[in-house]
This record gives sequence, structure tokens and C-alpha cells, in this order.
Amino acid sequence: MNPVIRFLRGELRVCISGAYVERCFNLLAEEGIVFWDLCRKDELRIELSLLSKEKKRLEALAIRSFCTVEFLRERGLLQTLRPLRARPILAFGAAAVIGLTFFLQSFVWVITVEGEETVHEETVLRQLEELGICFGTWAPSVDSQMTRAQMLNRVPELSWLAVNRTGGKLTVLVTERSVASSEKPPYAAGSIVALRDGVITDYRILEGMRLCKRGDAVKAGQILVSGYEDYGLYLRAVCADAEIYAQTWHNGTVVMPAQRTEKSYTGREWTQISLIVGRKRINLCGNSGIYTGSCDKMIDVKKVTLAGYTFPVTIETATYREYEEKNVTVDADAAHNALSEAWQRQTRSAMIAGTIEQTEESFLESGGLYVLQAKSTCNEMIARLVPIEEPYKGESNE
Amino acid sequence: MKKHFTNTVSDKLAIPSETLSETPFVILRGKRRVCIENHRGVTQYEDTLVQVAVKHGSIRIAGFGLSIVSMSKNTLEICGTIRAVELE
Repeated sequence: MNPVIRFLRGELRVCISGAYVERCFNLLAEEGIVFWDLCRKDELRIELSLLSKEKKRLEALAIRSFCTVEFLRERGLLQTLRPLRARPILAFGAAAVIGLTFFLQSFVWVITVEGEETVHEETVLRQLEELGICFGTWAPSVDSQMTRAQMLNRVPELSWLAVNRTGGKLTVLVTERSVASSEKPPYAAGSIVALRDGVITDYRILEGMRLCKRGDAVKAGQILVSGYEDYGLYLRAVCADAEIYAQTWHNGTVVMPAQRTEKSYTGREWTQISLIVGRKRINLCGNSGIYTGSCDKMIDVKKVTLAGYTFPVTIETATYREYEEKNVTVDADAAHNALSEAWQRQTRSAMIAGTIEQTEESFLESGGLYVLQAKSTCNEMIARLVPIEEPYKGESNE
Repeated sequence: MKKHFTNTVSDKLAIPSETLSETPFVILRGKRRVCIENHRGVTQYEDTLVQVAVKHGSIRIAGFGLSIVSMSKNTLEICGTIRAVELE
């Protein structure tokens, strides 16, 4: 009999003593009692092993064969577990832990996204949540094929998606679409026109026929590079390509109020500590009510990790600082600097590329406002491509 | 007559004779193990000699360190250093 089966069923080692012990184990064999490891100790004694359940039958047969039986030891699964009878809570706790280990793995506790480059992880997680896949979802209900099909429809930036589950952790592998760079020109035929008024300072023509030169004064919308190339015998329509720099002038006014509202901290601070398990928030310390006054709130989040594995448990510490709003007068110099910087930013954002060479400013205070009037001289790129609606196809000889 | 009938049936159907009759069946595996089927009990069990009763006689296993590994109603397995197997 297999040793494992013997252990599970219980094994008894006995010593049989008598004048004719052979008769005893012959009777055992005749009665169908299986025994093994028979060992002769001396002329009157033998030892053998048999199943624990045959104990009573062995005693009866030993009496029939005028032998005595001495039970040496008993081993088996029941005998091993017998001490747990005195410690029921240990047995129950062990069973509960084993059961919880298998049961808890049937739920999703952590979702991680891998392979994303431009698509934000939160986008993927938000879409999964709309599909019903989030913290606490019943894991066997997650269909990988269906999830992939629905997610690829919802997030067009993705070209492939796979959902893998390991216990309570769900790993979402994504691959984004790669946009091939197009080397084709944006239009079949187009001309370069001036973006704004200016004086040409430099140019670089890559495609098309140049219609301007350095020093020319041009107006906004004027064609600088034509999309029609004249080869004498015929015209060829192309998509013009050029970089043309010109000296331009930007005028404008920037204003800001002379008085502004400023925070003045009262010195009162308080802290609230919360435990977040999944999406459930448990307030540990501090008042969870909504404060009706004005205050700054700083949040410090600490995630619980172990050996690189992040659990869905975070400790959030929120610090509140109360303040009052006061009206203060803005210092004139500070206002001037701020307005100048704002003008510089505005001018640069209006240019495709270029630099601000010189700025003339006029600063004054009027009607509760600080006013900055500025005029900047810039050297910027003014080439703008416009399509030719119907390219010239040439005249027919007919 | 019964013996003749069982032998005839086993021959005709190509069935081993020990399954129909109580013919003892001895399997010797090298010098270390012997298995006896269709036995009628152990008559003598010692370290150097094991005598097993079978139909129409007995089988004596002689050797050293002989021990019965397992025993059931029909099958008996003995291991040890076997020197001789005698049929009586």
C-alpha cells in the first residue's frame, strides 16, 4: 500500500506474542486484513503494521490463535491533527487564513498599466472603470478579449491592449499607435505670403519662385514666394517652401490694477489624517467637515509598499492654513517689471520664430490702473504657406 | 474431474490456469524478492527459512534475513537474501 495512503488512513504497529504466531497472521490473511513490514523479533514474538481500523478485528483473531497483542505506536493524519482539538482557535484561524488567501485572490485589488508613452495612465484607468474594471471587481468576470475590443474603441491612440491577471493584481499592457511622419507637402500647390508688415532682412528659398529681396518692404498677405515656377515654355505648380525673416514692429498696451488682493495668514493651522483603502476614505484624525472660511490645503500622500509591490492603501495627510484677504497697493516698480515681462511674453508668442531687438515703453498710472504702452522692434520669420485653390494646369493648344 | 474441466477450459480460452484453479504461482525477482500467489498460509517463519503451504504440498524459501513484506489472502511477498526455493 502506498505510504501516503497509509498515513491518510492511519497505521498501527503491533507486537504479537504466542507459541504459534504464524497461525495469527495466517488468520489475518484469511480474514482479508492487509498487513505489512512483518518482522520476527524472537521465537515467540513478531511485529507487523496494519491499518488502525483493523484494531478490534486483530484483537479477536489474536484471541482465537492464543496470542497476545501489544500496541506499539499509531500514526496517521487523524493522530497528527488530534492536538489541535485543544486549540480550536488556532485550527479555525489557520483554516480562515487559507480560505481567505484563496478567496481574496478572486478580486482585483491593484491595476497597473504598462507600455504607455503619450497616453496617460489615468486615461486608461478611467476607461477601465467605465467598463466595470476597478478596485474590488470580481476577477473571473474580466473578459480579456472583450475588454481589449472595447478599450481600443474608447482610446483610439492605442493599437493593442492585453489584460493579464496574477492573483489580485491586474496588469494592462498597451501599445500606442505610431504616427508615421509624412514627408509630403501639405498642399499640392501653395505660395508663401507675409504674415505681417515688415522689411525683408533674410530669406532661404527651398521651393517656388522668389518674388522679394532683402530690403523690400512688404505688407501682410503679400506673396513673397510664388507656387508657380516659370520655366519659360511652361509653368509648374509646386508647394512653395521658404524661410523669410523680416524686421517687424509690435505695438500694444498692457494694464494691471493698482490694488490687488493678497493672502495674510492668521497663523491658525490644523491637520487631518485619512486612511484610503481603494476608494473608501476612513478619517483617522482631525475634523472632516468642510471649512467655510479661506484656507490653503496641502496634501501629502504616502502609499503603502512592500518589496516594490504597491498596495491599494494610502495615508493622506492634509494640512490647512487659514488666511485672510487684504487689499494692498502694488508697488510701482514691481508693476512696471511685471507689465514688461507680460509684454515680452505676449510678443514672443505672436511670432513664429525670432527675437525682440528693441522695446520702447511708456508707463503710467491712471484711474486705479497701471498702464504700459510698448512698441517692440523684432526680427521674425514672417513666411506663411497658403494653398493655391485651383492650380494652373496650363493652356491647351486646341 | 473438476481438475480436468478447469484445465480444459483454461487451455481452450487461453486463460492462465492459476486464475481458475488454486495452482500456486511463484515469481522470483532476482535473489532478493519472491512473490507467491494462491498460498494457504505460512507454516514456518524464521530468519533463515520460510515455509508456505500450498495446494498439494508446500514451498520452502531458504536464505538469510528473510522477512514477509506483505501478506494477503492470496498473495505473499518475501524479501531477503534467497538461497533456495524448494517445492515439496
